[in-house]
Amino acid sequence: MSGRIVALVLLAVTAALPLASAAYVVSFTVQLLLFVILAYSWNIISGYTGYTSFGHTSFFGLGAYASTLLILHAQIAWPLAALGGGALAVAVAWPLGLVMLRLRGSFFAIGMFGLARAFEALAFGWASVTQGGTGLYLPPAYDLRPIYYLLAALAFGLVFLTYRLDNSRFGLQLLAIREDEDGAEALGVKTTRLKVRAFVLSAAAPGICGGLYATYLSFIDPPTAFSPATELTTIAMVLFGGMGTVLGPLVGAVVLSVLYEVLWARFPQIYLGMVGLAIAGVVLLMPRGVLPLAMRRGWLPHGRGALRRLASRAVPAEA
Amino acid sequence: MGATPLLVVEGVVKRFGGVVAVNGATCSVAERSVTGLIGPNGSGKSTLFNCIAGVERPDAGQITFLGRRINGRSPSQICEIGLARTFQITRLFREMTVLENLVAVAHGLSDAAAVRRAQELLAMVEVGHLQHALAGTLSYGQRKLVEIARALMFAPKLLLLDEPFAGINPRLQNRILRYLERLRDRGVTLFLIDHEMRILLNICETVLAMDAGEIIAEGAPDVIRKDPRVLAAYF
Repeated sequence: MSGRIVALVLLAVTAALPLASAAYVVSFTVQLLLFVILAYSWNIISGYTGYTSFGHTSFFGLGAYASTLLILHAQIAWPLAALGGGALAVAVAWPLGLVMLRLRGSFFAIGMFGLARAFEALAFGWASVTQGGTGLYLPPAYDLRPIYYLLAALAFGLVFLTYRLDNSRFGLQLLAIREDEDGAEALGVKTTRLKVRAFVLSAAAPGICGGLYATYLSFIDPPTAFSPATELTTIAMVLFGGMGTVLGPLVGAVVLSVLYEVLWARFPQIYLGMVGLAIAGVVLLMPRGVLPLAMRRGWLPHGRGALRRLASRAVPAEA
Repeated sequence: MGATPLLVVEGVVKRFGGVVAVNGATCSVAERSVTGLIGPNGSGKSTLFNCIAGVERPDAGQITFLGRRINGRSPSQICEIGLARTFQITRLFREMTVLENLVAVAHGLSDAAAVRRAQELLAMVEVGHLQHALAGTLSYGQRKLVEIARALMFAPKLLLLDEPFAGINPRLQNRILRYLERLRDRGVTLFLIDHEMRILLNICETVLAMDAGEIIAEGAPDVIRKDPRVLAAYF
């Protein structure tokens, strides 16, 4: 019940914010929402399934380019173009997942990183379509509110989706893959199918998000679309909040985004070093992130409450 | 025995580089029977189990389960046909609760039905009170019990048990023996690896002995334990 109240308050604050805030706050929140979306998406494949991806910006970048090209050449409205970006990300993620998810551990991580670099190189080299390093320009977005609301809807959608995932058999099976993939397979869990499904699911929102980001910036070029800094920031956020948890990515995205902003404003020369130290400190003190620590200490209830509720309702039969 | 064979293994070979772990093993397991598999360490017992369960792909030979050729199929496909297993070293999902461990491997059941079945199975092995405990916090013996319950989640026809009695005290061994007898009475066919002759004598109708990747003897437990080939393999 208290969770629902918090969610409603958060929803109301998010809805009211652009109406009562300066453009700077809206712009900051747009970037925060972007990272919330990226963090939740990354959490599905890397947090739940345990396949640490260092190349999820591939889908963000593909979405950004697809959306921009749709706006420029097909004169499609930007929200629909962003959806087109998401569709392309999904279409690419499916065959890619079948191939890449044969790799495990650091091989998968490095493979995904290499893939993002390959997409970046393609965007640089395919100048007749992407304008290479010059980038593509879109008409400037004077009113950020429509982009803000779409990003907010996507972010809330992902939080809800993660909550459902966390309380579902699919989520449990992804966690089983994370813990012992061969053991899960030997017990009848269809690991390949589930991993690919999680991978595709985790690619959709970054694709849409990339499209919205291109509209927000009115510009896209290869280093922006496939930025390793975006990837690493996303990973740091999920590590900070807690991998494979419902609220971890939200906590990580909010805390680190605010920390970035505050340190950048006060110590512009050394803020990145300070953020690095803060992340290193958190990883050393709370290697599993803030939320799992809070759960272990009993400050927060453990996740996956739906199953527990079902268990309390069921009456075990006589052995 | 005369009963219908549920599982037939014919000339199975499994090599790891130059090492021949299973060398033309041939045997069968009758429906609703309890069959033991013994042999010294490194004789190929677990590799044979892995070939049957689909974890390892045999280099030669054929494995038939319920009349269907299963070698080359994935472990999850073999599970679906009705074969479940436990592991030599317990492999519970440590970060999940006991109940979640069972529900995660259920298929063809709604969440409510999966929870109900999991609770029934946990009650059967008398660890129902541990349903919300994290699997990583259980003792070794408790993990063995939960693993047996988990393997029964999809009502298998054949249960492969890899050393279910190893590393636990005699009291718990007797408890597990009692549960296995109950399963046998319910019609589950059991195929188990173990070294505990006292237990195998109690529960098995047939014992197969393996050495250097080959089945060297097959028969009733009290015959097998006196077989000179088996004694030579062990001593």
